[in-house]
Amino acid sequence: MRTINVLKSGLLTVVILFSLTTAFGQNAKEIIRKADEKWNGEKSSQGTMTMTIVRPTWERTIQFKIWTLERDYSMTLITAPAKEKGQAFLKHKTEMWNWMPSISRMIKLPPSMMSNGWMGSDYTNDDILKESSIVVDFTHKIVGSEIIDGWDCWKIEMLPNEDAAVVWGKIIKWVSKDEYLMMKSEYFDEDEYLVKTEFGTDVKTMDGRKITSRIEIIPADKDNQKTIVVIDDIKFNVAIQNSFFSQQNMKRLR
Amino acid sequence: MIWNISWKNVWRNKSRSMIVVCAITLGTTSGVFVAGMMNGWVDQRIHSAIHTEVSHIKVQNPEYLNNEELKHTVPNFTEISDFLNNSDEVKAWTKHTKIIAMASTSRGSTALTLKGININEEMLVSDLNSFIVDNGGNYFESDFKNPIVISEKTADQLRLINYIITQELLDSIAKLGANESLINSLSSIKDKRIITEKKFKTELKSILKPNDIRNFGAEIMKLAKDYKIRSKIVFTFSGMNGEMSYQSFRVCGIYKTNNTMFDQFNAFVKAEDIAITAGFQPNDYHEVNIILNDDSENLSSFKDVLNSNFNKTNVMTWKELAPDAGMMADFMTVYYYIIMGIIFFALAFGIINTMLMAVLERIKELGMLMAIGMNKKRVFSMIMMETIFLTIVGSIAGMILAGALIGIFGKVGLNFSSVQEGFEAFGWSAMVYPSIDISFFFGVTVMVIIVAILSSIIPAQKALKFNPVEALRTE
Repeated sequence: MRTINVLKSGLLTVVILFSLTTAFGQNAKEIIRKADEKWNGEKSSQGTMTMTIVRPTWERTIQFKIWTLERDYSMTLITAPAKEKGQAFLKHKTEMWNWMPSISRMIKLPPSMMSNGWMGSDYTNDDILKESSIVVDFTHKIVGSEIIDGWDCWKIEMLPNEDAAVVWGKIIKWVSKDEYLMMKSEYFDEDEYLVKTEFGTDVKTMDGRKITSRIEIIPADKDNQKTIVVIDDIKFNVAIQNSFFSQQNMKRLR
Repeated sequence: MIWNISWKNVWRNKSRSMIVVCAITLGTTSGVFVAGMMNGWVDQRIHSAIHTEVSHIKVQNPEYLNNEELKHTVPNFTEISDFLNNSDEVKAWTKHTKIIAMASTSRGSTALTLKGININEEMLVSDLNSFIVDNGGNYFESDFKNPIVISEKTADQLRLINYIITQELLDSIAKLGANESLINSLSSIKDKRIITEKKFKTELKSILKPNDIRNFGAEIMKLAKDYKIRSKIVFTFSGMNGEMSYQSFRVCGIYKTNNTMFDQFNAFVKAEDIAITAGFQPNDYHEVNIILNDDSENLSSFKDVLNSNFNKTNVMTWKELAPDAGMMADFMTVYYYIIMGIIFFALAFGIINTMLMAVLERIKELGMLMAIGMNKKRVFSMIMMETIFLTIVGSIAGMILAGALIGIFGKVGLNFSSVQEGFEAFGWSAMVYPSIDISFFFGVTVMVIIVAILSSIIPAQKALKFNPVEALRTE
């Protein structure tokens, strides 16, 4: 009887230990996937955001509304400043269209425009199109835990797979242990020099869930230059149809 | 008899004749040398246009010229391939796939034409493999996956050229005679990676004395250059089905030709590496490049043959593909003669002046000659002969001198690197090796004789107008 008990508790310890190690090993990917789904995993969303572009000699602010459905569709409508008002962007899978009301033209963004900054910011069109690859294209490893902004975070090192179409040499992400929030990301080039840092701050509860409502991108080697995106409000799982994401609708959006 | 007298007359007033001879010598030398320089230049441009950039003849889908979409591949490719393999006139040929793609690295991005090539065939058609820069890797000899050869210009735009002060650099600068303090100040940024030329220059300016920069700056810049071979470049492009595709390549070699425009847009990969991502079928190619056995003669006739056999394709010769070089090839000779014409036109006034002086100085003597029975025709030809001798002596000396200069600089080369950027923006090399066709010298000789005859008319006419009796009386 006793031996059985010992055996049982021993087995239990082994199982627990085993599951813990797998939690450390395999779950780095899992953590990133969950953090990624925090943003992209919902059925649909609708929100308004404000983006501030800071450059050494000037600064400007752009406001926009955004609708998403699953991973494949997203629609963005610029609402301010007046000069850009009415411009809309439609993303479907890996393609992107731009409606310019000032010249009444629909442009399908060619590959040559993908690396340009979106609306002059530090976000490239490519970043917007290829978001999901942080799960698939990398091997992930937990390298420690640190406290960022009072949140206990996993520090996760992400190395791109050999053939992946990723320009970075390495990415380090700090993901909070509760809520899976991406608090900080550092992007390195192939020689392991820092290229840009992304901060997620101002954790707020919006539509019942906690998210980092302020995202700041700071390029490493350009002084006084950054882009800040603030989420003013966001709703998840709103009723929205595929048909909403059409080229006709881009022109009608208000 | 007349020849003899004329020749002796030329040398009666040695200093005056020598001045004209020298003027003509200088004029001819400079004219011929400039022509030789331009000719050398044009030859180099044509050579690189054909053998590096476009080949003799290029076959494309006519639709591709209007709209560079991947689906517009060369029609009837297998037939064309058979035809070219069996043709006697073809020296070598190859085929490319061509994709306009966006290249990006973590620090930069640029638009490029990605050419998928077959390396063994390509080396017979294009000499690009000889343009790999020092320390810039190699031409598809590395064995890693998905190699790419890009230009130095592209590498710069993608921030793949870094600057590092290494120990070797310090050693070689020391060998060149740099002093202790320079080495010490350079050591302060030793092994620090600086990612742009501009930043490196600013850094150098802040730590070095102006004098040291003047003496060693260029050398330091050259040695500190560090090409990031094996760096990853991610390409984004619309594939065969129109969908956005991504593929990464690793830098294998970095080339630099004399044509910045060509460099800016062309990158080379193995055709088989790009085919799957882009969705190419085995016989999908966008251009067929052909090098013919003989340079210019059968160019247009071969084009016609191709055109009539494969009427669904568009066939173009290098003259159409590189119109600047084509135009040069056709018009340059005329241009050289125009230069010579302008120089001789100016010189003609000098010759007329000298001959008029020679005639007016000898009024009495000419009167005497006429009085003892020398007819007008002879007087005229005597003066004409004098002019011709005077001019010919100068121009032959000039041509010998120019020929020697062209010979020397044709070997050594003329270096215009101080204005290199301007030249290379148009595809012209900064290093010029003058050369000239021997027939040009005959042309110049004929021109000189014509100029001499024309400029002898006024002095000779002056002489003929003299009345022998009055002429004899002048003092």
